Order: sequence, then structure tokens, then C-alpha cells
Amino acid sequence: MSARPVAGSARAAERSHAARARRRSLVVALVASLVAAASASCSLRTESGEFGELPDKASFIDNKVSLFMEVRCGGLDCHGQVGRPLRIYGQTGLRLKAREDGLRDNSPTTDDERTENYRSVVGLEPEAMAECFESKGEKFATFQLLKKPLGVENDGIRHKGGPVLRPTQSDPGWQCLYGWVSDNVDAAECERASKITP
Amino acid sequence: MRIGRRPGRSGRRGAAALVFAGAVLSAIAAAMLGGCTDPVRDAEIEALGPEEPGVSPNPEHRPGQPCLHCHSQGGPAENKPFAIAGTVFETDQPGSKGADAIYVQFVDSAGGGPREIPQTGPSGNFYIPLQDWPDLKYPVRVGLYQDLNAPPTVIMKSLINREGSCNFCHRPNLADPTDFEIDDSRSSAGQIYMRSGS
Repeated sequence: MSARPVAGSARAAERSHAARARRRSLVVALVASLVAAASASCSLRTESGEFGELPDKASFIDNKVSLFMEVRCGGLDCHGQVGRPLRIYGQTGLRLKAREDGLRDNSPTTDDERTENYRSVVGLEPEAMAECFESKGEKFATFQLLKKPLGVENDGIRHKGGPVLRPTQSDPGWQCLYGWVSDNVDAAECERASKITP
Repeated sequence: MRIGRRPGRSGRRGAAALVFAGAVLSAIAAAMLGGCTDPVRDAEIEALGPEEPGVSPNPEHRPGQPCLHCHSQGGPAENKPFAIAGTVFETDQPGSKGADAIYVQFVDSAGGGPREIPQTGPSGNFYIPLQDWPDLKYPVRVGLYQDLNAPPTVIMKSLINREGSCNFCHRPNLADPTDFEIDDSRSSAGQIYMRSGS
């Protein structure tokens, strides 16, 4: 007599356990599909370049924006370092490839190095750059490429190297960089900004 | 009249545990404060190795090494802090002698310079004590002069942006570099020298 209720409650417990397992599987499947959907949409957005229109590589190189950044930003003690964000290569700074004998390579900046510089610059904050570019320079309130070089001293944000540009007509460096990201670059300003005078 | 109650055995154990925990925390805090240095710099200093046998710290010691690793706040020689220091070699050849009696003239972004123009010693070393240039404003330009009344022999092509150790970027050229040193040479401008060739 006492065995029956025990067997009955065991079956009930089994049914309840099975129901719990089904519910758990359902929840896991639901969460997994949500995660999959979220990651799929993230990768799709990046792969399809949905962050907007960016200034192109040719304008970066041909208008001497790269040259300006090589000279003014790419010192070996600043952005010409492997471990630092916004890595810049150039003739007088970090080289992309070493010479086989280990001596300094003083040859001019290569196309590969300028391409890497372009990637560094547009890869810093692509969405913010696109917003600035598409608005012709109207929107750059938090865009680090423009705000950092101003430093807090010139209404920008903290830059370890201090303020290196001023947001004025008379600063060719600002005219070069701001002009490029606002689709209005003047190569002559970039050339002026890349000259170091004694 | 009883105004307090002697703690029971469990109360005494609790108080003892509190005292023990406090002591352990204090010891951990003291250990952390005692070892509160820059681990990256510590490792770099360690990698420089010991002094040459029979040499004690003096103005000619450790030519080619980054002086401000030690001669700056938090370094083992912080009692003799430098603003800028480095080494000039006679030639660009590995193992070249240091260039003696060379004037190293700096101009900062405010048009200022050190109280005295530093001159290299027999090892090629030169240094500017921090108290001789307390208001240095980066970036800085530099030229090497054999005679201060003549044009400079060498002018550095790029800017010094923030690094006071010239040898941080200008590492000595090596006769037989390893694969690692060859790759690492991408980050070096090579040793500072007065003329090319042997």
C-alpha cells in the first residue's frame, strides 16, 4: 500500500522535471536567437559601412593631409609609436618596415605607410567622422580627431601632447585637418602646416 | 552600578578578528604603497643592465641610454632630474666614439631655451638640469654646433614633442642586430651623429 503513492509522486516529479527542462531549453533557445540576431545585425552594419560617408584616401594623400600628420603628429615620441592610438607612419617617425641591416630607413614615406595612416585616421571614430563629413564640418562636438589636438586650452578635450592646433583661420594645421574632414581641404594649407621652420 | 558589560568569549574573538583583519589590510596597503612605481619604466631600467665594471654614476656614464628613465621624478636618480639629455656620436657607425665639445642648442615653442647651452663631454653625453629649464614648452627644435658663431652642423629634421631622453628615440646603431632588434629599429631614428661614415 505504501509503494503506490511513492511511485505516483515519482512519476509526477518526473513530469514536472521534464516540463522544467523543456522550459529551460526554450529560454536558452530564445536567448541564443536574440544574441545571434543582435550580433548578426552588428556585423552587418559594420560590413556594409552603414556608419556613413567618409573622406576618401586619395584626398588624404593628394592634399598632403598625411604629410601634415606625419610631421606634426607622427613623432617617435608621440603618435609614431606602435602602442599608441592613432598610429602614424612616416619618413621621420615610425616606419612600417625595417631595413634588413637594422639601420634607420630614411627613405621617403611610402604609399603603404600613407594608406596605413589613412586607416588609422578614419578608423579612430568612423561614425563621428562620417557625421562631421556629411554635415560639412558642422557636427564635431565630441569628435576626437578635431577636439584632441586643441587640448582643453582651446576648447577641445585633454590631449597628452598638449594643445597643438588652434581653431582659427591663421592656423594652417587646423585649416588642413578641419578642411579635410569637412570636405573642403586646401592642399596649400596642409603643405604650410607640414613645414617646420627654425 | 554596572555601566558596561565585559565582552563574552565570542565578543572577544570578534574584536581579535577585527584587529587581525585591520593589521592584514594595513600590511597590504603599505606593501602596495611601497611598490607604487611605474612597472613599465622599472622593466626598461632593469633591461639597461648594470653600470660598466669600475664605473660609478658620473656625467659620462651610460652613453646612448635614455637618461630620463632614471633622472626624472620617480626614477632612481630623481635627486638629479634633467629637462633634456642625450648622447652625440662622432659618426653613424656602430661603436662610434662619442663626439666631444659639441654645443646642443634647443629652442622651445615659446622661443625659450635653457639657461646655459649644454655641451657634450668626452663620452658624447650632454644634459640640462631641470632647474636650468623649468618652464620648457614642447615642442622643441634642436641643432648641433661645433662653434656657436658658425651655422649648425646638424639640425634635427623633426620636432621633439614630449620626450626628454633623446636616446629614447635615437637608439645606438648596432653592428650585428638580432631579428628582434631589426624589427625594433622601425621605432628608432638611429644614434645622433655629427657625420656619416667611419
